[in-house]
Amino acid sequence: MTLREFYEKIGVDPTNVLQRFGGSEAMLGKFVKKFLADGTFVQLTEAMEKKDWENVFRAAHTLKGLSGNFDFLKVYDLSAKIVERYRANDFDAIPPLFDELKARYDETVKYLTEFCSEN
Amino acid sequence: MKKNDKKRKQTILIVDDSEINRSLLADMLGSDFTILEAEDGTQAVAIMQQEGSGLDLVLLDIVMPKMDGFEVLAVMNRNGWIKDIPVIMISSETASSCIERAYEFGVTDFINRPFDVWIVRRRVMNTLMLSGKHKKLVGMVTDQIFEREKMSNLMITILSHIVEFRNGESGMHVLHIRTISELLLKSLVSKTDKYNLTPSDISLISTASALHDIGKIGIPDHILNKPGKFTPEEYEIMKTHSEIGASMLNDLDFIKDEKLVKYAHEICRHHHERYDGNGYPDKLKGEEIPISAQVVSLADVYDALTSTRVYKPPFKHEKALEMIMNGECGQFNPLLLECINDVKDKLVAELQVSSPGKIAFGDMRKVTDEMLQKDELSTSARTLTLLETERIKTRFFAELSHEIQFEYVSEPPMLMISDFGERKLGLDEITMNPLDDEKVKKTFSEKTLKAFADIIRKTTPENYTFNMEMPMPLGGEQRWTRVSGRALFSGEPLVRTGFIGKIIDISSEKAVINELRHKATHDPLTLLYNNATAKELITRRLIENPKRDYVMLYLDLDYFKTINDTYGHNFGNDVLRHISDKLRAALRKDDIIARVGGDEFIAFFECHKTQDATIKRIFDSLIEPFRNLPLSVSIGAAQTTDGARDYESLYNNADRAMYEAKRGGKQGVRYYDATVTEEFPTVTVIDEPNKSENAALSFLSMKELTAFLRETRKVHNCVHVFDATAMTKFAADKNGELGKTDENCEFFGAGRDSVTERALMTKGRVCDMAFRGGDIYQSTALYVECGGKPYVLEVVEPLNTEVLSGVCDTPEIIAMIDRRGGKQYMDVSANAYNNNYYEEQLKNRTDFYNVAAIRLDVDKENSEQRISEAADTIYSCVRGIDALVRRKENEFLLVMKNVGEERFDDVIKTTEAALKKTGAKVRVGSCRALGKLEILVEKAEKNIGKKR
Repeated sequence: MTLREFYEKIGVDPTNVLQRFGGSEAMLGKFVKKFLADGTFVQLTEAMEKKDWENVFRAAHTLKGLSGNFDFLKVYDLSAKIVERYRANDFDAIPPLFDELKARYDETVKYLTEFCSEN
Repeated sequence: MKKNDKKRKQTILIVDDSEINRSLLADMLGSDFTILEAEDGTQAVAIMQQEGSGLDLVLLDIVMPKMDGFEVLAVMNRNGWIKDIPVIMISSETASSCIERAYEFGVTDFINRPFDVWIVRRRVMNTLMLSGKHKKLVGMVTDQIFEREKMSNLMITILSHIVEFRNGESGMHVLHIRTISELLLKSLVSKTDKYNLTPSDISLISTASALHDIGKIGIPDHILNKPGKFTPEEYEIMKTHSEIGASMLNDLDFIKDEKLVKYAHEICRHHHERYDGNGYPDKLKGEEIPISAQVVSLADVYDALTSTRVYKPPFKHEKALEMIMNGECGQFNPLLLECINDVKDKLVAELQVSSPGKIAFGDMRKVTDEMLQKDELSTSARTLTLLETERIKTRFFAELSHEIQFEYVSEPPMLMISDFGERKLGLDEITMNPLDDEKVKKTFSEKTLKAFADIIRKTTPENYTFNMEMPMPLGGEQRWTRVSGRALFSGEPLVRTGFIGKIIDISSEKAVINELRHKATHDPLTLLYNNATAKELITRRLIENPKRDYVMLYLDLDYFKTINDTYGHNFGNDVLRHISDKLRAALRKDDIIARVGGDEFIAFFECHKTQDATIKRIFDSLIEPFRNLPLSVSIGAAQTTDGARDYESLYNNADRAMYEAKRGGKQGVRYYDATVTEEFPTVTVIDEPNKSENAALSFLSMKELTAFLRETRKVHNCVHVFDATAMTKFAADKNGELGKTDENCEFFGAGRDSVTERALMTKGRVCDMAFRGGDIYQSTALYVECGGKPYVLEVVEPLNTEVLSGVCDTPEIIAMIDRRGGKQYMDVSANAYNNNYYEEQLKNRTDFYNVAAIRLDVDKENSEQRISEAADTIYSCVRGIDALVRRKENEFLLVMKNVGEERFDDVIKTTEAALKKTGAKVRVGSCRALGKLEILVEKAEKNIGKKR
């Protein structure tokens, strides 16, 4: 699986992100791989279990930044929504958003793992 | 600014809690920078604290754990770092309030997520460039001000010396030269850059110009201040001033490399050179002459022309210029002539200003001060760089000297330790909130931290240093360290903002001190405390714990002397060590155990419910046989509950209880109580120094004792033996055999204040005398041991001829009497009792009824000698028990008892005759009656010279 194929799988056109990475597929590829090792989502899950909204916010915020960097747009949108809900003190809205986010995140990770195993 | 700036990679600190973000940014920036990373705000602040101006840029995330981006900015503002370290915020925030707030905090720019390589690089580069320029400008301004300030101070000092010394007129001259030179130089650089003059050079040359004539110091006074024209010879001498000045400066070895001094040298030597080569001393031509000297020589000429000189009036400004332009004062660089022409208007104006009271130096200084006060310069890059260098230096030296350095700032709470300390202590180089930090808590005990905090809290802006010793784990080993440092204060009013200091390992030093202290406080044999230390410790414990109750045991090993004598001192020492081991084992670590005497110990511990059991246990453990030798110990116990709350009382009570225990047959425990509360008499230990001598008196068996008694009986009539164990007294017969005591000697028995009792307590020899039944006795009691048991030998001397005269044991008796009445009872030259004795001991007595008053008529010359001889004569006529008192200067009383009237008269007659025979003039009065001695004496004195 190439980097482009990976992006296709998650439904994103990689043109923009590549441009931001100075057109370097190598560089983007290198950092995309790091996403797998990142513990932010684990932190988010833990915070969700404890309903520790402050840390939910912090992790979601970080995840938003990370996924934004790589144009993992679905993950980005959902983590952005969680951040937004937190700021609106609308904590009840967060769990369903998280469930959806988890599905998107798992999907991204799944393809990303495939991509990594081949590159 | 440093010239190697370009070589140095710029350092960028990336602060972001996401590792991916940090490495992304680092990658995007490429290898042109040194990248430092921080995971959160606290780490970021710590790095800033450490790196100072070493940081060129900070990329700062906003949302982070522990300390967020805004808090970091707040710290940077408080510490003034924001002025020197540009910050770019990284954020996906687009809320304008957030951006506004960040700008208010002084951030330079924003980078938005998602990151774009090109934008990140561009923004970073722009920011660095701007800040670099800013730093450079600040540096330049600071450098210049610094240079001027430093140099003009130096100059003013030098000049004020030279100028005031010699040449009155030059005072103004140097100021003018300076002003003119500066004007000329400024004009010159605006026309050409071929001389490469920086503003700093201009300042230096102008300043150095003041030194152009310093060589005149070497010109003789009569030439220098000559009113008329110089002779050719004088002129030649005068001309040497330029060389003299130059060599003076050349001789300034340590500063001759200073740029200022180099310029001054050029100026001194060459300010009389002329452009056409017609000057002196080196006849340099054109541009061979240093530009500094060219400028100053022109200024010199102009000022000389326009000023009054001893040999001429001043020329007007226009006239002077005309003369210069016409070459009347030698040829000058045409470019400089152009310059002077350009500035001619300014020249007049400025020279009016450069007069005393309105000195250009002063103005410059004011400007500098103003600039220095502006906060932009307060922590200029230059200062920070200097600080950084200092920091590197001190770290290096600290490492060399094996010191751990530390620094603590309270805002935010952060502890920094040097690299060396980091390794030694196992702490991180930087610890945020050290008081809550697990590692710190693990390294230092709570007690240590508290003690340290207390010490810090005691510091004030006046007393800011601190010193303490504390244990610390260094390199995994508990060591003693000395921590010294100072607290830092700042602000108005002053508040403590942190502290700095160092930690030195003093374990070896401490070990020596501890050893010495241990030696001083412990008994070397048993390693228990010594008496003095026990007293100190117990006293302190009683004071510090006023509500707790304690018990003190006084332990005395019975028959120790015998053990020593029988088995040798080494064995005796082993016994003492054994006893102390037993005591240590029976008591807790905090209890105080001491060896207070040869075989005496005290133990001190808090009262508790089972203390009787404890004491019993101690007792039982102590009487266990040691190497098959049965031991015996007497223990006295005293408690604070008895009302004795100080060391002395407890000690005395326990001591007394111990004697009660001994009296009770030894080997026992006795609590102090009402039955032992009676005061013991003051013990008169007369011959303590001889104790060791008497210590030899110990007998293995009754047989040995009997043999000794037989010998004693040969010398002394009345010898008794008191068996302290059985509380029984025996008299020794001629063969030394002990039989029942006779009544006569009973009063020396076992009464509390008897010599026997006192000898028993002091384990020594006690000597006393007594008047009993109309007779005088001296009794000596001697403590001995027989078969390990205590006995007292009593030797009673009735009618001892030497008792009253005090010949026997004189020093002892005098000492004893001294202690009793505080007065001397003996008259030394007459070897008789003195009037003190009469007044205090004799005059109220009723048991003497024969008194003779003997009055001598003695020449003043040798009177004491005569008295002494008379006393000897009297002694030769009387019995040993008769008392002779020197009552007055030349009067004796002879007091006799147990003597018949006839015998008494006989003695008086004989004495009088004997005295007269020696040539003494003597009169005697006597009285024989019943009644108070005082009255008898009165009568006897009245009877002096009367016939009986």
